Amino acid sequence: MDITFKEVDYIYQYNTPFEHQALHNLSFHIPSGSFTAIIGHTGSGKSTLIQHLNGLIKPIQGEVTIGEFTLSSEKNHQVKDLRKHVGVVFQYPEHQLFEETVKKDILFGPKNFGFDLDRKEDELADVLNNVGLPVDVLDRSPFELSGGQMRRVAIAGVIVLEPSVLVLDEPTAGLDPLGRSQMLKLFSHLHQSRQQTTVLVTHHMEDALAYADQVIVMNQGKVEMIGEPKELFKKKERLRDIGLDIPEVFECANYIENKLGVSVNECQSNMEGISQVLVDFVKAGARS
Amino acid sequence: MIKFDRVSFRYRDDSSKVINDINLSIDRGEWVALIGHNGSGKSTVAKMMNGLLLPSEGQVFIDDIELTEQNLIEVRQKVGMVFQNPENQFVGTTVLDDVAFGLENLGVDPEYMYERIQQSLKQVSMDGYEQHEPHRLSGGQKQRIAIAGVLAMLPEVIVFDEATTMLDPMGRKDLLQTMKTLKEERGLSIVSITHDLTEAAFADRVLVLNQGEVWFEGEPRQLFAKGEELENIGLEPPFVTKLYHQLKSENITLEREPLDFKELVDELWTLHLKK
Ligand SMILES: Nc1ncnc2c1ncn2[C@@H]1O[C@H](COP(=O)(O)OP(=O)(O)OP(=O)(O)O)[C@@H](O)[C@H]1O
Ligand SMILES: Nc1ncnc2c1ncn2[C@@H]1O[C@H](COP(=O)(O)OP(=O)(O)OP(=O)(O)O)[C@@H](O)[C@H]1O
Ligand SMILES: [Mg+2]
Ligand SMILES: [Mg+2]
Repeated sequence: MDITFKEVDYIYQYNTPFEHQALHNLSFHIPSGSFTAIIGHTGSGKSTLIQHLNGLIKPIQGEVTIGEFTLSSEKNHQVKDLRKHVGVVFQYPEHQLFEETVKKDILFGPKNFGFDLDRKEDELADVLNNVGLPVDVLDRSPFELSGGQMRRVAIAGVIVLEPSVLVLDEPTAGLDPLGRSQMLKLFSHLHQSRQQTTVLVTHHMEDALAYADQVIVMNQGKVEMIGEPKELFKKKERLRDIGLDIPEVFECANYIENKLGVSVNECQSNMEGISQVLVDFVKAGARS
Repeated sequence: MIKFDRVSFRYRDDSSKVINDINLSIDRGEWVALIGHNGSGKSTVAKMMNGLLLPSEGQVFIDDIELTEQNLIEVRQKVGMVFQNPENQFVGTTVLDDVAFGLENLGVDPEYMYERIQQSLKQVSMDGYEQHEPHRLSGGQKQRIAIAGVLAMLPEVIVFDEATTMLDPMGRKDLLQTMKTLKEERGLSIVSITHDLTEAAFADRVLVLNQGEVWFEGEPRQLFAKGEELENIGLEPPFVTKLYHQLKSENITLEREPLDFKELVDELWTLHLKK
């Protein structure tokens, strides 16, 4: 599903003395089937932005279209229908867990949206395996799990719905390193096999580089930049100025150029390339 | 400062042990990183450090005094804790009240109190947010406020349970720097629970838990030297370790296991000069 923001403003506690404008005149396009990463400093408006994607909040000004759905301050009729297509994993997993058992929690969405429950139950073992949980968690309370285990349950409860748009708000926070890389591979696999549109909010620049077709950079409630990750991460100074950074491989490549005086070209800006540059450097030294 | 003597823990009498017979110690002024796979028992250990949970077997000592239900109040003045989910920690309706709450309980002089609140909000770059509601903040702002609340209490030890997960890259660097300064200037002891091995590299010592048991204890460098073995217990070698691994396969070895890419490149430079 194509997603378009047109001149969107959002204000928390609108029309009260505490009102706070979190989004200013946002306009951008996310093509159907693309993998988009959203990065930005703490409080830049990322979570506010993505809450518009399933109608949890509506623009105060402007318009958001998601496939055939339109959200604006006036129109908001088919929110439940929209949520069937757009699955959101929230920043804090506790916000989406509420049932007595993990099983009920994961099946809550399918039940709510009228899916074939028997079929979904049969899929449970697979879903759990995908998110790296053992089947014996099914009968446990989601509130008696560790932080990373809760995160995995929250993700399971959304991917089981096979949404056309999967929205992930820092989905790997709290996962152990192996779980983190497995989860990212899972998202990438689902993205391709289900032809889904994926929106990933992240503080890990290397994930944006590895998986995204397009990166939206937020700064103080506005879109600061938008573009392909490789191009975007060349703007080191500008990113630093707004609280961000460049991926570690790029930083390492820069450091090598400055310290060793050898050049690292663009296609070498990965682990293999860098290692080759270093090997050549050492061998050249040994000869001279 | 903190000592665990043969500690085991189970959440219910009829369930199995999630912490199994562990010994550990945290010295005064020491920075210890506690890492391990999801469900390995890190948060459970953290909660036993300030008496939120009491061991099922074994003993926990704070400054050589056994932690019991009778001395919880004194223990919590010494051992501050930032929870994995900051929302579990908010008590005030404004940021100011929230940070003040702990100080009022400590009986801090009101005049001095305001200063301490300001200072700790500055330390996490959240000055100016005094009148905001903690629950109406962004994910990373909530984490910062939770940290400020504990910093203001000036405890002797702070246990950070994945307290930097939602911070942006600069915010994370700044916080690590603040922690380092507090350790050096005030002799603060730090227990940082993290999945980020780059953050673990800041520690004096790393403890790795695996299924409720201590799997490794030593310097970060020694841990990184384990390389791919880390994958067996749900961890992954960091970027620099993978890079070094590739160099080793080309017969390039360094005198010591590098902690970050700067160390690696710097050592190669020295090696090059010597030739
Ligand atoms: N419920 C709320 N009520 C009022 N203001 C809010 C609320 N939630 C967020 N804000 C404010 O809106 C701004 C944007 O917040 P948002 O949660 O979108 O940021 P974010 O980019 O997701 O940050 P983080 O990386 O810390 O999660 C912030 O200044 C925040 O303080
Ligand atoms: N309140 C609880 N009741 C019962 N079991 C629990 C409870 N909290 C945690 N557990 C279980 O105890 C084990 C250790 O959990 P703990 O939260 O200490 O792990 P952790 O190392 O902090 O993991 P994470 O990295 O995911 O935060 C896990 O198997 C978890 O499911
Ligand atoms: Mg957010
Ligand atoms: Mg934990």
